[in-house]
Amino acid sequence: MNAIIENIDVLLSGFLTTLGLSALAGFTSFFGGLILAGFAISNNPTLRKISMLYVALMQNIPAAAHLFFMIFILPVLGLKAPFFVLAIIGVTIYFSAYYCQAVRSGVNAIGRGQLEASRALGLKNMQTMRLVVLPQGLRNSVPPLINTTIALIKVTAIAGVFGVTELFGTMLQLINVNDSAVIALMLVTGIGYSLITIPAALAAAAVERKVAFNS
Amino acid sequence: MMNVELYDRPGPLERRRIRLWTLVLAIPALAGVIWVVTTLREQGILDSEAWSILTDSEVIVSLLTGLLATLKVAGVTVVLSLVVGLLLALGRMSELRWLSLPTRVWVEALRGLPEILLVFLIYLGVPAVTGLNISTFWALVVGLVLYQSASMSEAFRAGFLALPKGQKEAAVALGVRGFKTLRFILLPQVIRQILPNLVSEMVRVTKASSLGFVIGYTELLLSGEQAIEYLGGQYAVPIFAGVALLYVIVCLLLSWVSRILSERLR
Repeated sequence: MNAIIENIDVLLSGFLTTLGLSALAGFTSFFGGLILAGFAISNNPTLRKISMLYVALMQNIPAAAHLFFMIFILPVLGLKAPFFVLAIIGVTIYFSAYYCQAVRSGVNAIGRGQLEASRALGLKNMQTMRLVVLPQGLRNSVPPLINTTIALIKVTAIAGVFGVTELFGTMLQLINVNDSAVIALMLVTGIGYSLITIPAALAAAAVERKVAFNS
Repeated sequence: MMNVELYDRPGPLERRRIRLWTLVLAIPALAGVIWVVTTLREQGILDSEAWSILTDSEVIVSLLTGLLATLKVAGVTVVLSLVVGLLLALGRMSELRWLSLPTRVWVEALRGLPEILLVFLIYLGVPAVTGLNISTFWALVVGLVLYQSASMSEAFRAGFLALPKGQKEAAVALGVRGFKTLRFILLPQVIRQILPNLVSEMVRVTKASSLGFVIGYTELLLSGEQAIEYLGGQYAVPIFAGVALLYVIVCLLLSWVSRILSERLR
């Protein structure tokens, strides 16, 4: 117990680093995912193939392997950057694929009738996209987007092993010097993650009910 | 995932516009590719000598051994998570509140935690509390099962809830007892329904087993790292590419099986 009280400020700064890392990586991944989803739903077959290939490759490489590449292999190639930045890039490369899938699943949930109606009304492709597909598609994809973000927050914990002092990394360092408080430290770390993930999961479920109710 | 038909089939004018856009976008893309290739060549990463390491029999054997270890962890984890996940789902749907409430809390709590934390909890926590040593294999498997069983229990629960109520009522009307209803009437239908889910769960577990790297269980990623450490940094990129490719192939095969199954069962 003492180990936690003495190190509460270290744990707190780890918690804040987790929040910062997740926020930055989440933002860049969401942006990447939007671009990939834009490719995936464009009417250009080449762009669709590029998006499919990217998702198939990057989604199937484990997060630990992405971070391993960023933090162990890139420096060997002479590319040096702080671990924090490399972790953001690694997570972004991985999660862009998931955000793309989340947006696509929302777009795919749009009823056929909507598209047929917009065609019948004589809307051009771009108009259909802007006025019919995107407003409904993005709203449908809010719950999967939140769930993807929860997964992203949990994956940032792996960065702790690769030298980023976010919550999990901080915990590992503290365990190294206080080996009697292993369980207590893990409990506090777990509570730290739950404080972010459980409210987010509840929010996703609430939004999902609302979306289901409205459609 | 198939796209819904978002557009009309392109006419001649639209096709020409698409071709034009492809060309316009191809120019910067090509420039980017050329830049990457020249940079890589300057670094000596594209040397055929370095890449020929992937045909070295010792490297192949060690990567395939790693892959086998990965599949072993994934297989054992999925089977155990299935059993535990089913029990958790039944517990959560039970009419006994003292059973359903704690199970619900357990499932929700575990789903909110990073898998790596659970793996470490077993790996460091079990020796700290009991004084017993736990092998890296079992630490990895139990840690992953803690998480996966919780998420699998939700898949089971969704499967049970999707069954028509009449199934259970018919069983009661026919005089089938509780366990037999489950075993012969409900479970076969639920499993049929969530089978594709289970296979894609296998993809998730295969990727999650790479956490073995962190606690020192020699699965695919760690065997790649060991090969790099042994051979030297100039082989880092080819060996990593081999490791990544193996993951992609295995996961794509599993997703393919899951797609076939879901089409069959529909």
